[in-house]
Amino acid sequence: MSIDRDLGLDFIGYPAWIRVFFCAIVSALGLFGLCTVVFNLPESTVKSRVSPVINAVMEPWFDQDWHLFAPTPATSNSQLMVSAQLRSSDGSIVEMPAFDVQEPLEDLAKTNHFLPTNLPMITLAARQQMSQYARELADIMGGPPAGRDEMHAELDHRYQDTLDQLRRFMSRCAQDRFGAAHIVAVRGTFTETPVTPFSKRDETNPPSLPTKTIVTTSWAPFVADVGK
Amino acid sequence: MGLMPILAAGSARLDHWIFRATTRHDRLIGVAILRLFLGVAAVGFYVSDYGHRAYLWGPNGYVSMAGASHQLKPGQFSLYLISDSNAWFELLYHSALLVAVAFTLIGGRVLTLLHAVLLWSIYLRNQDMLRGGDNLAQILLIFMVFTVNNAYLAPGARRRRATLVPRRRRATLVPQSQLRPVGTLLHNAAVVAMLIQIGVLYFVAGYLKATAEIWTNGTAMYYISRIHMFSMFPGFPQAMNNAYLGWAVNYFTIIAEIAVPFVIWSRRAAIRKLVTVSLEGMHIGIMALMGLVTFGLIMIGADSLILNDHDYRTIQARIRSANSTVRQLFGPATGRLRVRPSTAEQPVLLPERVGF
Repeated sequence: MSIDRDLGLDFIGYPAWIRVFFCAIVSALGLFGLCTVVFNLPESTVKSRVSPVINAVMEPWFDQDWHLFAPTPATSNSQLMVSAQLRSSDGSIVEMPAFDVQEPLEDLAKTNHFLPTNLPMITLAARQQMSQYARELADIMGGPPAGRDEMHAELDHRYQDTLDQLRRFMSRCAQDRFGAAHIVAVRGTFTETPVTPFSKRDETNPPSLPTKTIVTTSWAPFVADVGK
Repeated sequence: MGLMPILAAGSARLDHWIFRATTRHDRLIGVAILRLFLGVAAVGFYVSDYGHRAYLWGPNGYVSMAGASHQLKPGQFSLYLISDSNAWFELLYHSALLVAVAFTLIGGRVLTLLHAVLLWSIYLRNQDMLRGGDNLAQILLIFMVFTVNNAYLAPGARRRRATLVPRRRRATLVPQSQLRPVGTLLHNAAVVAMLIQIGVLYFVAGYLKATAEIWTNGTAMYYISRIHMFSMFPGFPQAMNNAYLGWAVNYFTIIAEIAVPFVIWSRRAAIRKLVTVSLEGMHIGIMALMGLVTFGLIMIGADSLILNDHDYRTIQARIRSANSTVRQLFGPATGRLRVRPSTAEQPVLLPERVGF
């Protein structure tokens, strides 16, 4: 570049490799920007056509989902009731009363406002996954009887990891409550209680809305000493 | 007109752009603040569940090693899944905590890379623990590896800054031998990539809210405040009981978020500062009222990148000026004026806007 040569400096133009490198970086930035925008677009025919290319760029390192930033807020509070079967001294199986594990975890997070524990995320994630499981199960049960068992088995297979996580989590909750020695099996029931509707918030006696069961798991064998 | 003059003109134009993109590091202060907040958020993440670490991430945790492996997408990895030895887990967890502290305090490319690998590893060991902000941290850390993130708020920052911009009498006359175009270009490109990511995130978040009835009818904050998990203070649901306040918070959030991609490169610094302060206020509120502390820290760090270095310097100057005024008004009367030399850097004569 002559301007600097005239001033006695050695800035006479960039080497070819810097020009190529610059163009490569700018192209990569453009590609990243384009892919990020398209990746986040609402579902459409066009998006589904270009998705294979976009996903190849974005996944796994730039995979993103910003729906958590604009959640459709829940309109109910959820509970996870854990039941346990214990073997009594005479060998018979006794079912203990179910206890809620979700609210105590949420309250635990409120004991430290600066560094709240992430433990409530366990039940939040489990609830989301099991709600989806319950919807799919309802579809299967509402469909024709032929092949229902196979579809149910396939559903359980797909949710195998979720169910195993839940079993291990509930086992630890039961162990903390009853000790490990006599527990045989655990089971969970997801329930939810609707929040008072916005339109009825100022009523002196707002209606008491009933708690609804979302899904109840089968009895699952107890796993001892999870996380110990 | 022949081909050669066109090529020469194109080449000169390209060199002009390269010069603009390689002579000054963009948003060094914002990147340093981002590093600080991402680091504190990560340390908080490790420390907040230190007592539950074996349960959440250990080899015998509630998420089994096999279950965590199944959740990985092709190409992903977690160092925690290499071995089911408890010693390996403990070594990794404590190393990650130390690296997070070092990344926060010292920064630099090597520590950023180490921190990114270790943070990705723990995130992928148990994906139930992720809250959205972690997704942003994962992506920003990849780009931060290419940035100079310790030119401020780190030991030796002043010395580092001195090496970044060659001393010169006239800023535009930089001999080629003193230029380090690759590092500077990578830094600036990484900053642009992070800004694209942040802009897209906020626009998507604002758009999703603007198209959801519960947000547009002004009741979203009411329902959020009544979810037991997110109600950290009794006053929060009571405040959101007020229809006007809940509606205002909803629309304030939507407008501030949608504005972000349009103000990032705006020439109007006042709008940029207003939107940034609004977002940071919103995230402080989320941290305090909803208990999402690590999420809020990550997002405040990301918001910090919206302002450029000149914005921060003007803010600093105004704070100093206000501080000085307050001291003069309310401070002890000493009978003489003490003048301290300014520690602000000499003005740089590079073009005001460097980037693409």
